[in-house]
Amino acid sequence: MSVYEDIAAIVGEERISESNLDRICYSHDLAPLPDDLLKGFGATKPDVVVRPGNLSHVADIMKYASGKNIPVSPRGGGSWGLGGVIPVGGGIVLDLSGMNRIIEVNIEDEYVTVETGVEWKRLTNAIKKHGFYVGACPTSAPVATVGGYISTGGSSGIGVSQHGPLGDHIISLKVVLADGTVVQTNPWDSWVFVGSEGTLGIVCEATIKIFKKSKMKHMLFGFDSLDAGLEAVIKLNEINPYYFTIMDDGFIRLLKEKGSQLPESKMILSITLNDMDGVQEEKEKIIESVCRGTRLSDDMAEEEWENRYKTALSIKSLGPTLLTQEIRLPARFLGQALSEWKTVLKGKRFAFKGVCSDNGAINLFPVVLTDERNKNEFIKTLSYTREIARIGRKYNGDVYGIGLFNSNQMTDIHGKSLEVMKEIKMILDSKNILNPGKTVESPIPDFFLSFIFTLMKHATPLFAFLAKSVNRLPDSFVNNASKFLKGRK
Amino acid sequence: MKQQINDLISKDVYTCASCGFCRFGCPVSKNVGFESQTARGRMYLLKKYLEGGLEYDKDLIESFYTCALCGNCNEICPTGVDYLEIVSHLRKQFVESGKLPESQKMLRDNLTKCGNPFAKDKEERGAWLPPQYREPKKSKYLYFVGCSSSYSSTRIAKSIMRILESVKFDFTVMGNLESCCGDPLFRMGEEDQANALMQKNIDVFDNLGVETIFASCAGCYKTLKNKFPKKYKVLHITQLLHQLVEQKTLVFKKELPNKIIYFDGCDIGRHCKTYEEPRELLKAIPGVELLEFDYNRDEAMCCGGPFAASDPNLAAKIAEDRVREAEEQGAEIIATACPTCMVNLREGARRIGSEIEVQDITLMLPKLIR
Repeated sequence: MSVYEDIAAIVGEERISESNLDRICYSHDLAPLPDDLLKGFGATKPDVVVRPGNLSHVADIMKYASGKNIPVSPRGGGSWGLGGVIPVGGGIVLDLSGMNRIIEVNIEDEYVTVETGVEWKRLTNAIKKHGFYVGACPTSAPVATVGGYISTGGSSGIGVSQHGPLGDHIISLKVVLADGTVVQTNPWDSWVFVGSEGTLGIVCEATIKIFKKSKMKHMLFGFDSLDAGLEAVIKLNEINPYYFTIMDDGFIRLLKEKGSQLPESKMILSITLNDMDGVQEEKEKIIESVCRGTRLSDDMAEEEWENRYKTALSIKSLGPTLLTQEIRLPARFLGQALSEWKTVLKGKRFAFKGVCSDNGAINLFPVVLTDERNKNEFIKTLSYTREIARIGRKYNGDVYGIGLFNSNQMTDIHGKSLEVMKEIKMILDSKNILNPGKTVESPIPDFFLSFIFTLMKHATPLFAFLAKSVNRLPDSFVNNASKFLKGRK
Repeated sequence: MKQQINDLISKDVYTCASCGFCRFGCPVSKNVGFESQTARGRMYLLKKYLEGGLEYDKDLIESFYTCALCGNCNEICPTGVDYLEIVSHLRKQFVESGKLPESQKMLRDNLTKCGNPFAKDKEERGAWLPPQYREPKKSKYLYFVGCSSSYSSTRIAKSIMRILESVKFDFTVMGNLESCCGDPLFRMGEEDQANALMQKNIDVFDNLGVETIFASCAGCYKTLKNKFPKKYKVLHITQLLHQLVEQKTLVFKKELPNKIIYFDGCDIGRHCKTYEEPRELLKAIPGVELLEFDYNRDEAMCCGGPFAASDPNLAAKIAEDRVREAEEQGAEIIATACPTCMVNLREGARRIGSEIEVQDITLMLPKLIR
């Protein structure tokens, strides 16, 4: 029997697809990379796409896949841009977004238990009715799933500067391991799976602490100088408001091009407080004193909050292609990093937007607008993303996630602890079938990728030609090549 | 034509961020789930098409017809892509190149041959009418009954006649001279055929000296409002009735002590932005406790009705979800402002054995005014 038939017998025919259209749709994520480039990373189309309906479906699929040594790439909302959900080596894509039940909202003990395919927006709306909110929520809440945010670290987003990263709020996870075993974690060993990007297990159910809701206060400040803005950001990290975002003058200009009424400023800081600790007014006063800029109207501040999920992408049509990296770095280095980034990106159409993170860090998105239809220009622009990451690292920062595209930088990112990570991977997934090609191993050696990026920047037409040739290779060749490079049998 | 459309869609196709916000309120995405049946999936497939990696084959074309055109994705899209516009253009292109999917053909043929989607006799369209209304008369006000209320949900049309007669409101109906407004044909991309039906109706409107048209079907209301010449004032029946209530012409004499949840149909809601009048009308009924869906007004989710002809099972599955959501809110009655929504939601309720009542607003009113 074929893989399709075997899995259809587990989940039912309506939950599996091998149509060409679905296989194409599930072979990419948010990153606007042309097929030529994706294939160079070992990315290929999956053989089948499965949408399991519950945890036991997932367990049975993993038992089957580990028996047959078939790669399995789990996927939530697919709204990250680092290729973490792109299948390497074909196999099975598990689209978990159909497992979206809210199993229990417990208002006495203040927790919620969900299937991890539920979107954050649906979850937050569901508990809002009971007077609760979550302590950490991604800004892509309408699509990002609970499982996706757990697996990608959960430390950038709404709530984390006050309540800490999502991992701190996890009470328990139900995880399907590579061989189909189901384990239930406690708050401490949950951390093994937080940020593991689907390489160690498939998080199917989560029990998360929730917080009693209270009145929110939204504030907006415009600054005449970048320095004044940055100073405020550093101090804000000591006050820990519920949420804050920053945008630089470049981003403000782009928003204005799209019709925004925000005033011209060197930086705009948007802050949200909630008074769960009953000191909102005091905090508001402290914030007013540290933000030495112009306080904008409450209406504008509320509008910023209302658009919190939309703002980042609202400028995209000006590209229409938007390239970005997500760099997490300590707020105190933001000024230096910004000035170096600006030097590197000179001549490009760029802007900066940042979201609060935990422990005094900011997650910064250096955004470059370009047009992928102009291929050579696009490839050249793409080559800067590596430079952006390098500068972030120089200032004690780093890429926020690994996925497929940053996996070759693991040595730089983790140093010696990479060996420990590899051992953990070996213990939990000795056959290396869970989301292969990501996080602890790259299909491409780093020196080779450095060479590639040099080509992209300085010999763009040659690179474009080579990439096209790679793209002509059949999927099976690419699969075998990546297996060979990883030493997987 | 093809090049024009490619140029037109190219900017939007590349603007689409593949972020997937569009999946949130997509009735198809929630039930079918696979990416090729979502707005972002189709946008990605179009990109592959523009880059030469895909052809408009049967599956790809069919995928563009597995969209209810409910417009929820347009509302939530952070990049401002007009997805509905793209799908509408593509469907026109598919029709022009003779590639209308099989699933649509019966509906098209019924409409072009009989002027209604059910292949019913044109001469039977006005059969439900009381004799004195069979011959249309000259009037400034016209009640555009629509196919559903003329042939199957005639109780809606009869209710409306009764309500308006009770307040001596002067209007006319077209009887057998009425044709489908053209909506299903516009939706499937059969622009020429749709325009032909529209023109037939316009000729009658002008003969009768009509100035204001009101419709009880949300699909007709949308088409009359958005496609027909702007010289006509177009109202949904709930807007007209709300006006009559405001003027104290229409008075509810009895109570309706029920928990009622109003369902924003896509055509009256997102496509016409008529959100408040139906609610105000319901609130004017003594005893009514008006509830809301979690996702309402511009966020409201489709009932699945647009698939009733092409994929009845999908249509009903989507309706089941809406019925469950209404039950969760504690509603006893789902009030609709569209016969398609009503019929489809009733099917959803039946399939899950729900005791909830699904009623068009107009059906609730006659017993309250006596």
